Amino acid sequence: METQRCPMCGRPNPPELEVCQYCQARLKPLWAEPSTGSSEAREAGISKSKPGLEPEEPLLPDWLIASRGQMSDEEPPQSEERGEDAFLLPPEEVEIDNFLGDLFSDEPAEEKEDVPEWLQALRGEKISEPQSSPLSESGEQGEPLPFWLGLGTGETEQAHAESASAEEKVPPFTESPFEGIDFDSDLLSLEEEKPAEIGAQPDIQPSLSPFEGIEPFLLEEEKLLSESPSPVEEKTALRAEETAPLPAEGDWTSETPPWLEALPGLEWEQGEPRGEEMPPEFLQGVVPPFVEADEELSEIEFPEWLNQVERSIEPELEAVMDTLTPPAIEMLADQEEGEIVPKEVEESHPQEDIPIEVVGPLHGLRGVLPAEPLVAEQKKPSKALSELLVTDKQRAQAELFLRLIEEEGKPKPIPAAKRAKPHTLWRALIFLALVVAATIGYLLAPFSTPPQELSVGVFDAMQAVNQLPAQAPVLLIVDLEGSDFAEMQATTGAMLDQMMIKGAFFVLVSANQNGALQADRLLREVSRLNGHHYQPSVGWVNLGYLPGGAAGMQAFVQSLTEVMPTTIDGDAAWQSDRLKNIRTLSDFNLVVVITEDSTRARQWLEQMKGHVPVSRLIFAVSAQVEPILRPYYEANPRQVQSVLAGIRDGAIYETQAARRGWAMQLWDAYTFVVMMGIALIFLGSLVYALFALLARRKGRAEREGR
Amino acid sequence: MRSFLRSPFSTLITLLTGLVVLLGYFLDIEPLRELRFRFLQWAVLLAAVSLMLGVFNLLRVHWSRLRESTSKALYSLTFLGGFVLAVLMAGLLGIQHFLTHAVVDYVIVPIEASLFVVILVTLIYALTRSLQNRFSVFSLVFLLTVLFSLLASVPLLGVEIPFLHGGESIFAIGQRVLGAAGVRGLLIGVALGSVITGIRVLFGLDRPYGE
Repeated sequence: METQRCPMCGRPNPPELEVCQYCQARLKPLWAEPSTGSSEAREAGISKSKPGLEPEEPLLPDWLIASRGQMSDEEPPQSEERGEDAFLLPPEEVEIDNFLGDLFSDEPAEEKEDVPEWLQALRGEKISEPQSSPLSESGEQGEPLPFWLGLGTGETEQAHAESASAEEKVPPFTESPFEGIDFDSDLLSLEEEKPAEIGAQPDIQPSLSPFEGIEPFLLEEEKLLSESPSPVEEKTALRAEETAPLPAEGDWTSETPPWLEALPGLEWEQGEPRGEEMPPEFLQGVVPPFVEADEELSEIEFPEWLNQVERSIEPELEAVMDTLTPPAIEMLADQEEGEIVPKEVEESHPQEDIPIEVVGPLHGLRGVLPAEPLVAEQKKPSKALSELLVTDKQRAQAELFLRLIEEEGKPKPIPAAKRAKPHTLWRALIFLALVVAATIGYLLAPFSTPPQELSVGVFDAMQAVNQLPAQAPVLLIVDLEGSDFAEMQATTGAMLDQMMIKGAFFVLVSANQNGALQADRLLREVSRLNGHHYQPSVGWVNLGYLPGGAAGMQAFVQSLTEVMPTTIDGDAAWQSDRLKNIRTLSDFNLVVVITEDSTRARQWLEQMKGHVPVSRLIFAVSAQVEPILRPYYEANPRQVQSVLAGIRDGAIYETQAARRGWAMQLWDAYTFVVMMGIALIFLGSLVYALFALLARRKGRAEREGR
Repeated sequence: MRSFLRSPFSTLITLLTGLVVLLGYFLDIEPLRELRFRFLQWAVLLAAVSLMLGVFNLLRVHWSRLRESTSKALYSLTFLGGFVLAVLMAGLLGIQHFLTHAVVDYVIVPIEASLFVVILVTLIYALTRSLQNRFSVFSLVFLLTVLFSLLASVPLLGVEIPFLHGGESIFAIGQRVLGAAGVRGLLIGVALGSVITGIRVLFGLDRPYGE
């Protein structure tokens, strides 16, 4: 007794049961798995279930599908076994099988209704009876079948046996089995047989025009289509293409099926040597026949010129390989990966993913209009396109260059200006130190001995003064400010004292607004300190301020009586008895310029050149003006008789004249102040230099620490 | 007025007067000498007038500050008071009056001397901090030069150092050689600049009178 074992609990059940009586598990599948080895049934199922035709898929008529379905019905054990095996499969495969079962089911697919009428007409199907069985149609209509597919007639068993033997004998074709077949002639022979068969079956329903229901613009092609092979012819040809390449396992390499022997072109294939392929007629004689050799490429002897080229390239290739750096090798590897990517992309889009058109005239066609993702899909760009093949040195230089460019664009912060702190205390200490030194020097005088060495300037000045006649007119040009009055008084005191002793008459003039008053005060102070009784108008005449700068000096030296005709009090200057003989500068016995301004000293010296004898020109200036006048004094010939500079020359003059004057009174105070100044500058500079060094070291330490 | 001064007429006057004065330096011709002297006299008068204009402008500025009662009005009031006092004393009493002498002896000279001392203190202070602000070789050279100059100018408590003090000392020789050389260079530069400026004014390239 046959039993069927439950795949779930493993207990035996009667064969007629569909559900296990113990565990209620289904014993028989809901659908019958077609034979996996039956490629005909699979193709039939595909052709039925698929809503439309694919360009690559064969066009199978319904009657062929029905006949194959009938064939598959004759093999129920296979289906049952497959169904039983399906229960042993994992759930995923079961689902796949269920899905495929839908495809292979013989039930009329609902998707068939989606096929447009014009496409059905093209297929040769009946539009009015879409659900009729193709098998019955083929049987009723008696549609002629090819001789090798007479499965729907009474020759089923014989054909099946032949097909079984063919499956065993027909080898898998590496080349098209219909190569060399003249389809035109064969189809013409079939066309001649067709009227006879049609005449023998008058009850056959006339087939509808294949272009019925087609859009008008497509009907315009009817003439062309009528000239093309009929659907029956196409079906016949397609059937031949479909059935012929079905492979079957067996010793097919040694045997050739009889139908294949009858095919034209086989003689050509057998007669022609396998490895030699003749070129077309128009290329014969020009191109040698192609010889397919089984030799390895390395075993082939190349021409000598090609070997030379290879040998010349080899060192360069080796050099290039040596220069490749690890990054470059990595980049090349990435480039190879980039080339592989398209293959992966292609594999990621199998045939099932290609969409099928569901509307419009292309309804049911697969992959006619590529979907947008497929179109927009781009090849992954290779890294070699985005990255240059550079060495490490070039890369470092490029990075340095980029860094320089980036830093160039960055605005540099403007350092805040350091504002010096007002060291008021330090300034006050300096002032107090100077005041204390001056006070001590003035009170302790005479503390130090005056300078004994006679300078050249003092000697020349004393010589010029000593040569003055009594009651001689002397021009005193006094350009002084109050700030330098003490110094200039000390410098010129002894000299003026000597002149007063000789009874000189002074004419005072000043190119400075304040000079007239300073000149008057100078003579008063010298007279007072040295015990003279010099009075204005008796001892001197003050002409006042000479405006115009250098132009006024030039005018004054040209005609002093016209430029300065009156005194500062408004009296006639040149009408007195002491000055009535004075018309030019050369009429004065001595001209003394007393100034602390180097510019005015230079201007006076330059403007008086040629108008005053050099032997009568003396400059008594501040110590700061001496370097300016020294070139004029040391010139050859000299342009000035003498230059008295500073308190030192005044003190020397007093020492040489043996008269203690204002210079000697200030000398000790001056010495103490200068020495105090030297000490303050030295100590202050030392302290601040230490501060600066410490700050610099601190800043350097901060930079290094950072 | 400004456009008039910028006109070719003013340029022509400047050119003619300048040429006359310049030729008067080289040509000893009586008419030329006389004409040159007149031009110089006019220049002296114009300078005096410009001085007076400057004084009036100074008075106007301080008077306006006093009327606006700004924070500096007190300084302006002091200036105006001192100006009026000085003009009255010097104009009415004369410079030989004892009040005028007192103003000079006890006001002008002490104030200017005090300002000079402030400059002295500031210079010493700046010298001491020169190395802190810029510690460089040039700062050191400048500082040492100042110190040696001061040391050579006076004897150290009455003691003269042979190589430092005196007319034949190292410092004196260096002052005569280096100092005179430097000053000669300065004087040559001043002379060349004066000549170039005069030529530019004579040819009308510079018009300081129009600005």
